[in-house]
Amino acid sequence: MAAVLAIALKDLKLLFRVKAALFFTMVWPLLVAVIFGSLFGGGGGGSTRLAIAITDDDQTAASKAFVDGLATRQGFDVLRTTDAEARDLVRRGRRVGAVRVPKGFGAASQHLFYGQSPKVELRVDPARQAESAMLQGFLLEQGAKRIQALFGDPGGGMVTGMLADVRKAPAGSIAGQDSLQSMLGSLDSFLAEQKRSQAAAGGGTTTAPAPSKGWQPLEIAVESIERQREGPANGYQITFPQGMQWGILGCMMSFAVSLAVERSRGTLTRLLMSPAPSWTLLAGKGLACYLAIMIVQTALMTIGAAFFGVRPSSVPLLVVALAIVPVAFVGIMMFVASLGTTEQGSAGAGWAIMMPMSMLGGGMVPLAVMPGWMQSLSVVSPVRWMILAYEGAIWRNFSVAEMATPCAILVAIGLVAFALGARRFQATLA
Amino acid sequence: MLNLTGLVKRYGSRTAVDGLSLTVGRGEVFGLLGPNGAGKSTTVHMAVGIVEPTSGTVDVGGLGSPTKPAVRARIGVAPQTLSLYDLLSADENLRFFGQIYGMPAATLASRVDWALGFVGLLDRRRDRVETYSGGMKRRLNLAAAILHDPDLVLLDEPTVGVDPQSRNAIFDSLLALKRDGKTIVYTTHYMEEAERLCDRVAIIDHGKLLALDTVRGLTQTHGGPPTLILRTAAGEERIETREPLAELNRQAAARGAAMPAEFEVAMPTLEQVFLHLTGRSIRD
Repeated sequence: MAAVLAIALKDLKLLFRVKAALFFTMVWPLLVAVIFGSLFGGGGGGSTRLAIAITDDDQTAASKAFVDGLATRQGFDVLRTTDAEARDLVRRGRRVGAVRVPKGFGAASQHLFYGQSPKVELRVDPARQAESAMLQGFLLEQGAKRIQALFGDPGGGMVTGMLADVRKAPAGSIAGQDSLQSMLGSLDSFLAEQKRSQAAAGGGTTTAPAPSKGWQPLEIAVESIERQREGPANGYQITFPQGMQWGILGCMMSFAVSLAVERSRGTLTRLLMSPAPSWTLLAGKGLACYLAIMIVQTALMTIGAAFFGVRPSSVPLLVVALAIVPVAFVGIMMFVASLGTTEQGSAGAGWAIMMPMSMLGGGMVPLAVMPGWMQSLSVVSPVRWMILAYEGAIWRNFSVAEMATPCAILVAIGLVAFALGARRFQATLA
Repeated sequence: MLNLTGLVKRYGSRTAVDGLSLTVGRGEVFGLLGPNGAGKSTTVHMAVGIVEPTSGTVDVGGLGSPTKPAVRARIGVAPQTLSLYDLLSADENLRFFGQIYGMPAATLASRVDWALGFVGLLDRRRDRVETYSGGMKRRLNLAAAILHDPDLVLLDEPTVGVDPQSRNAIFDSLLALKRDGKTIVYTTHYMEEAERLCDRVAIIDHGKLLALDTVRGLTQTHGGPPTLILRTAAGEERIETREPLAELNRQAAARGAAMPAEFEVAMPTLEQVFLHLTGRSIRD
């Protein structure tokens, strides 16, 4: 075991002393992840429109006007649907929020300054506080447009109707009934004057006075709906696993070639002449490769989490993925190392195998955007299972059972490839 | 210390070693000479157990085959190819090889100090090997072979490509090892090295043992007679004779006053023996 550790530490030391190897295992993957992440809309969603769902349960003229106002508003992407579906869309993160216009909205909209305020219900993900605040602001603004419409159409008769209501109401049933009756009377006279003036001027619009301070034109009931994330929160959650793949391939190729270097430099001969059995050499190389991949993965994930929002949905599952992924690639490293007895031979064979595996497995183009036939073919690539394991822990919300599939496949690939590689390597020694 | 019995190694139809048998005594410096492709390195590799003989046996120190870890631990090897990690320092290289040989940490540090001092590299111990000269690398290669205090040291052309100073330093180191009672098997192309260092020399070619004896014995048996060289005004006169002194007297008596004043007796050399036994055709 001491010999295995000595070989592993020596190989790690050598890896980190080769500047080119260090660049391609650490810096290059990070560049790939960051550059492509920002190209894919790293900040989260390429659209700046606020996507909401709206349910109109009232179906009155006022509610329809309210909904239409939002739908035609610039910067909004409105989907009209049922309340259940709207909630589901928010829960799955497909919509920022859901607005429900409940029954009674139209009736409440017939009153100003008394009676029930018109209400809407807003369902949002509590994590999206900025969007929630913005949405409430827009809803209030839309509610205020009702007042604007009132003053923009003095002949609408709404104030006259309200004045009649207040006069008919039993004494004391409305707070400040006398004052309200007086104010509505004055307002009715004022609007009648406005109408006459407009008629004299030949029509046209007038600017309505702003509603008095402190008055709420709309009551908003906010309900939190915890989001169940199904897609990546940002582009980096796609590109960091891909970048980690490049780091892993860099490590893997460095160690595969290092066996050929040991052979050509004669150090392999010296190691084989030692009392340590030849399997310790392979075990030491494998351990060094495993540790190097762990270091690369962990460093990239840490950077991704700290600066680019690549936060795992499950830390324990991420730890499992980080522990299992290197097993597969250590095995593949051993197999690749056995394919050539020279540095050029090993490197050539390695890239010839791994480039198609990367292309097929989603290492270059995300699996989700691949054509169907290619996605089916990708099951043969260890890169697919590696990326699936990472993504399962980062944004796919894998359960333990779901995570078991890619992990089991990766372990199987690792064990089979290591056994084949070790056998071939021993054969070349003989 | 080392017994090779009927060693044969075949690679397909090519026979690299063909029925080689020899014994190297404890504390002996044993030279293994042969032209390129004679089978020296293959013999060394079989002697340390990394190449399996097609037939025949190897025994080290009465302990058996060198494929056993315990036997290998008693062998030190300086391969012909410099077997060092260029990106590690001398210190790191030796520590690593010591760990591979299972040396306990307590003794490893002192043995590394000793080995580096032995080959004169203590002052450069922290420098990466890539910054070393060829001679320094050769010396470090030797240090790695003797670090674990082996009984049998196999040196495969340990002075290839080094300057006279480093070669001399390596010779001194080997003589010191000999004084310490180590058994050394030394393969080389340089006859003067074998003449200077080796107690006995084996000459092999095409995988076969052609001759095995002390240097003196080999020159007497295979080197031909000594040569009496008389230098006259017209040039040199060379007379091969088994009795140079008697021949000189005969020449003086026969020539009288015309006897040249300058003369020399050239004894047969190991190189003559080597060329006599292996031929003068160029090997690749």
